[in-house]
Amino acid sequence: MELDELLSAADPARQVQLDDAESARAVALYWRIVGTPPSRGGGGVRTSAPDGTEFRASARRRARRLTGRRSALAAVTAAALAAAVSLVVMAGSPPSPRNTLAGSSGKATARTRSSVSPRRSSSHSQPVRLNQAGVVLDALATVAAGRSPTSLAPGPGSYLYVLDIELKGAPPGGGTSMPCGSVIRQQWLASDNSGRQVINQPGCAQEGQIVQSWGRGGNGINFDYLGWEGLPTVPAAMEAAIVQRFEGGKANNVITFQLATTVLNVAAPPAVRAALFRMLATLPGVRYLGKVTDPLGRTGDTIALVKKPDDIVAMFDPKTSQVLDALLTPYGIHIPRRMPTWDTPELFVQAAVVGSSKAIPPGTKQLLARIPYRHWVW
Amino acid sequence: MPDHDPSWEHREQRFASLYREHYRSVWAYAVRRIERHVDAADVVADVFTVAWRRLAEVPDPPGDLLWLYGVARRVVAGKRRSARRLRDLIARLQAAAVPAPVSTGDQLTDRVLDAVARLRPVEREAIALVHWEQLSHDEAARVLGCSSNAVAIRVHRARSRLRQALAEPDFAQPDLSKQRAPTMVPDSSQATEG
Repeated sequence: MELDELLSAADPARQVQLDDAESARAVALYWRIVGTPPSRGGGGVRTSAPDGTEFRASARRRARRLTGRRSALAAVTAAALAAAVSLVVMAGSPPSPRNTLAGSSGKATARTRSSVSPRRSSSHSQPVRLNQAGVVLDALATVAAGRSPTSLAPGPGSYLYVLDIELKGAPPGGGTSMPCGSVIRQQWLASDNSGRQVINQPGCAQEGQIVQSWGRGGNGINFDYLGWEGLPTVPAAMEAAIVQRFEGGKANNVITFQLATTVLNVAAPPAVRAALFRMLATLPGVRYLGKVTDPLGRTGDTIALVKKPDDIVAMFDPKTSQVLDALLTPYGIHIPRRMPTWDTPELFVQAAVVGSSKAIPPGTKQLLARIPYRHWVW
Repeated sequence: MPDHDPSWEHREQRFASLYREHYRSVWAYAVRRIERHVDAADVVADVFTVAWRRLAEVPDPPGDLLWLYGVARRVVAGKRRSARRLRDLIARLQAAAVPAPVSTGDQLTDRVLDAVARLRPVEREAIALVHWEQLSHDEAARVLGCSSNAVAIRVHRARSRLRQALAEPDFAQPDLSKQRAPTMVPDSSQATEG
């Protein structure tokens, strides 16, 4: 057989069933990008969608009100966060061994991702810039340094319990890529990297529970919670260590920002967290976006790494310095004062040290029952 | 934005046309380069979201598809690059989350795909654009941002390497530790998405 024929026969696109633009997935994606799904429209003049189906003019008006900007934001963020599941880690938790993060005293964190590798200038010799972000981060560092010296590092026979909610922003009947309105993830992580996780996906087409366990050495999910161990507490030295340890020696602002705001900013002791905040203040492109209230009603200070194509945003509780949410937004688009669920943030809800890989901190079930995640599907 | 903004109307009509015309082609492009179907769906979503945001930059047909391929190439590259940058962080996560490469069930096809996966990235992309996306050398050059001559050279080299690889008697038992998988592989030669 000729090489041309072999190549043609081996075409991966011939091995799978490709969607057409008229498929349900394609139509759902289209409306996620440009506006509101036709199923949510009201009365009015009929016109046609790209798949030839009809919908009503009011849906178009509503789509216009939403604007392409908002829709694009949701799509980009949802896609990016969906990809992040396989690319980046997670984080978040409070400084005290047992703590509920929801509500006014809550703490949170999240997982974000970026595919861009911006250049950065070395900040080793840079003074902390006295812009608004620098002031806010310095205040957060001061709060972090003053917290109780206890950490969430699990001892022998105990586990770090982490509960977070990832909002997926999928439309009703959306495709397989992002089929869920929210993903509730519980993890139990031991210091030897063994652990367990339980994932619930309420609102999914395939609603169900995923349970995974892994032995010593881990599966990567629990890798970073204790990654702060051995990091120096001088900001410049810490940055150099993070670059060396996590970025292959080549500095990347995006990864540094994500690690410092979420992954490493979870179970670390106060001195490390304070240094992380002060290191963040030296990163080029870090901006203060103001106070924002997230879908759980928690208000915090938002810090962003402003860069194309997506800004990376983290929201912190000014009273406790804990990260509450993290998300991506398209470059230069400001977050409203009330963070919409279509911004698809990842909400850190609870963290604690527990005695077994199946133990749940007191009050967790009641806490989950109060969270209206089923209404967050847009 | 006003409810009856004609510019919005025009914009959406143009995007709908672009979407209807090229959705399947972008899907195929993603599937050829991203092993996980779910990740391919994310690539498609990213590509068309970029197209919506930058609709004014999208050229008229037939250049629009090439423009989309160019975006898709950067999106795929971004996924690979992120994987490389975070390799220490995610190696175990990937091991847990990414299913093992699925055989097509056809030994000859598997051998061809393995051989393609072993090509240098620039050669792999060139031969994929020419043979799978069925672009001319000129069109592939527009996607890759290089000269038509460079594409021809890359395709020629790729074909030579494929012939050589497929002639190896032990190729059916590849050393996976040396294999350049077509997905989630560090590829520093790719351009940055932006």
